[in-house]
Amino acid sequence: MSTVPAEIAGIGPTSLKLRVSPGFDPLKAAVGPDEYFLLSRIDGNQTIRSVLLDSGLPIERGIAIVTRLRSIGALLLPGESAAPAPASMPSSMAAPRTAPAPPPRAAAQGTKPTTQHSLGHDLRLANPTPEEVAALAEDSELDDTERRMILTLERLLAKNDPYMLIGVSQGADAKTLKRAYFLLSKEIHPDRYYGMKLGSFAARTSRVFEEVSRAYARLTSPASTRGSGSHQAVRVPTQDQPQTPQAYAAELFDRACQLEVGGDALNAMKLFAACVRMDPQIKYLRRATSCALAAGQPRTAVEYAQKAYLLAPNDVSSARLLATAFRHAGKLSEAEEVLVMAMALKSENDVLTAELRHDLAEVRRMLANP
Amino acid sequence: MASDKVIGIDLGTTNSCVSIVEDGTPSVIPNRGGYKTTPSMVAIAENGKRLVGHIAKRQAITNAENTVYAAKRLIGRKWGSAAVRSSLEIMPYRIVEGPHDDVRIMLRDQVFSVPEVSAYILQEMKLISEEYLGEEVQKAVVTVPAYFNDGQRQATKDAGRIAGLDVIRIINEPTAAALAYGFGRNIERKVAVYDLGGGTFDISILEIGNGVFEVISTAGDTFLGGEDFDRRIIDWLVFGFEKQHGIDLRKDKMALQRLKDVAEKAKCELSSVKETEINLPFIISTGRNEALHLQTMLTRDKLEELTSDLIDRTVEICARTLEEAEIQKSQIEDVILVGGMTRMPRVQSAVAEFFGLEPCKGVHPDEVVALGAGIQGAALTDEKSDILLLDVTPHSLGIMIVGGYFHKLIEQNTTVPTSEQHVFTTVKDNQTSVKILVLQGESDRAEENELLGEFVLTGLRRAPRGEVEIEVMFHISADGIVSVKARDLETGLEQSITVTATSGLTEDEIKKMVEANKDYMVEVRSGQEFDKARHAAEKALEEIEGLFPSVTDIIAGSDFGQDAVKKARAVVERTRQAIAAKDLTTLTEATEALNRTLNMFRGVVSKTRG
Repeated sequence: MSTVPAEIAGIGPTSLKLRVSPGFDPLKAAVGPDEYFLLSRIDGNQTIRSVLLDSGLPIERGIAIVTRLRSIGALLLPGESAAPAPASMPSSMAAPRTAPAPPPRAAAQGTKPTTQHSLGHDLRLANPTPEEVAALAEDSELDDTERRMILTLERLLAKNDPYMLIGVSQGADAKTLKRAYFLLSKEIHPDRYYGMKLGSFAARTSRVFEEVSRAYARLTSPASTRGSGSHQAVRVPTQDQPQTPQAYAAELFDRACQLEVGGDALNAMKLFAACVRMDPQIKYLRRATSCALAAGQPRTAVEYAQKAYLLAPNDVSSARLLATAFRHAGKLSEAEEVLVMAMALKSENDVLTAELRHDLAEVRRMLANP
Repeated sequence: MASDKVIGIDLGTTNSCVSIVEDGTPSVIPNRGGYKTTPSMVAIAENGKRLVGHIAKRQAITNAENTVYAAKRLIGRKWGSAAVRSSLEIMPYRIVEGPHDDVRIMLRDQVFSVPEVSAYILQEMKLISEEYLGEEVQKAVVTVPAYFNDGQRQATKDAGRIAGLDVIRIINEPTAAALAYGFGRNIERKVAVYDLGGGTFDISILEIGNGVFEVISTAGDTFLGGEDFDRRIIDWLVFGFEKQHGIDLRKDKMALQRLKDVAEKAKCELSSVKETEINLPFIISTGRNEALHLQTMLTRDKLEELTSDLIDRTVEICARTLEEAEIQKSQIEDVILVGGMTRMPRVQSAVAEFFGLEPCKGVHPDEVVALGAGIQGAALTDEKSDILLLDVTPHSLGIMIVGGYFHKLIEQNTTVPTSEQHVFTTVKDNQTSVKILVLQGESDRAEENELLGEFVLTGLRRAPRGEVEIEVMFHISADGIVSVKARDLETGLEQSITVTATSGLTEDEIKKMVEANKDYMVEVRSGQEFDKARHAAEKALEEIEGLFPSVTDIIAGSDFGQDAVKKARAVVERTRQAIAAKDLTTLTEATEALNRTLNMFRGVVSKTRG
């Protein structure tokens, strides 16, 4: 799932609460259906973040809509009394529905990027080191601009700042980031220099591209295991969160249950995962376990069941759920162990005891004839 | 005069296709017969002559045993693999075991390796393009299914070399299709490529923008394709015939080849009509010298019923791929259909239903892959080209660590070129060498993955286990070549290899190597993690030991009390052993069970007290 960025370019932090401009007429502005939908969710009490999350639209799409609504004067920032002058009032439905054009450097669309000026970096390479001077003078088929570009990027690697390396400002939105990454890749991917004599630049180009693509992976999927160092820049700081984690988890839980009932176990799993991560309650964990089983993800089921079981030492039914998860994951001896322990606990509930006994018999039978 | 032009070849399971980019325009080159695709068939005629393409196909019925089709299903595979086993039963030609656990094909007492057979097809494609261009062609980009492993890719490259072609790049079929789809259009969108060909199914998700094609995720099944659909029809025909006449048509190679032909034809026809007649006169003769005929109707509904599980399988793979890439269906803005099988109406509707949008009709499913290969060839060699492909590695790469586990260094779907390193350590006191086994795959167990290569780093200083640090570095270049380097961090001593896949080892052999090479093993440098885990385990052990007497008193009398106490003792023992063995993986597993026991103990005690 995409995360809501901390900030939206041209508007501000997503923790802001927007209001609908009193004089705004959606009919006259000819907004589209999903724009109208989002507009209807903006009541002055919700932060941008929660509006985006609640809408159910892809986050990027939501951001694009908010940006557009703002650009046509539909939305007011806190403290504003009148809408800013509309940038250019779109007169028809054919108006651009995406985020406003990115800064000029990323706007060189459709033409071959022959000028490096289109990148968001300062490529002059001030005060070259002796090693860099040698590289600039080397026998290689690259021209001077290309060499300076690669050496500049090589210098940036040490800074360990993925935004700076890709050449966008901190917290840039997904689209800007992608465009800048694509543009930069076109300049530095080793395939661009296929079959050319490169000297030391063969290794340099490859290394620079690898780091750029690693930086991009890091920024686009924060959970990515790629690369070292944990950059939290794209995560929303906790103090900006509009809801307590518990309240948000409860909401996610409800939505997940609805999805699960609707038969969409796979998507329900995603919400359950987020929900139990935020608030690992036994109720959530148990429901997530059965959903994981339904979705055919026994390993995840074991993980959740394990947590639920640890939270409720006395609870025989949690033990049974864990045993079931183990069984589905093919871990029969673990299942047996848990069931034996649970039997020893002696539940007052006869039905449950009978079920446990039945499960145990079954597991033992499976263990005997693998 | 030799040309510096690069052709693009789609080496398909059933048909192959070649293309070239001229003056910035990619086009498919027709063969002598005027067809844009050429059957991927090779035969040896009675006079010993080699036949390729349409002529091979035409004589296939009368010369079934000496006509190879679907060689792509066998390329780069091991003799012992399930894929080869199932081919043995259904292919009319003779498949025999090669000297390196590989597969060979026997045609008229001559033995051919699979890359040789594929080379004859590549050579035919080379000839077709040379006739068209009027000059010799030496370079090619060849496509393979996205899910081909390194061994299969290498075997395809070898086939190129045998055919006299320098295969400058191997690219994935769905990626090639996306290149052709996005070529010359200024688009910015996320697309899915659903590629159901003759023998393989692939799904890829790409992001296209500003001439850049970024592969986000790719997956597939190398044993699911049009041939399987044909086989369902053949099975149905054979079954019906057997019920009626009590004769198994599969026993007769010529009958089988005729069935195959008619099944494929019926399948294609049912894409445009609702029912078709299957008519095979004189299909076989009975013992009493009396000829039998096969005549029946096949409806589209019946075909869909026979093959619905195959289509479901492709949709499941789509769902899994999207999930793994953390992409919502709604983010996909276009679906490109590739491969002849996507002409089947049920396939189209299943795809439309899953993605919630009508698949793109703008590309020709049989030609689009070859066009993409040609476009990539031009992108690499033509300065004017403005296309860049950001491809990924389809499988994870790593090394084997102690216990026969697989430690990943590079995750699947990582953009190439890429490199990654990790520090490992010795597992024995005074261990002076380590063996680095380079593996590819997704399983935690080393033997379930493919072995790409191995080398030994010797001359380590004598030291207690865990003290010598070895850094292992992986690098995948833009053209997919893997190199691995291992370095003793203290002495700087280094060993490296460039991996060229060999398909010469079986799982058993790797298992044996795990045993035989225990002295060489490395383990993950994770002393701190282990200490932390041990500390936690020891604390839990202490508490459990304290609770044991009272818990035993309380539960010993219950039905399963004795059993439970026994289990608990076993868990405690296992944890102790894991601590003694200093093995983080087993300790982690044991601690899980230990915590469950502790949990239960606490429960028992609190229950009686409260």
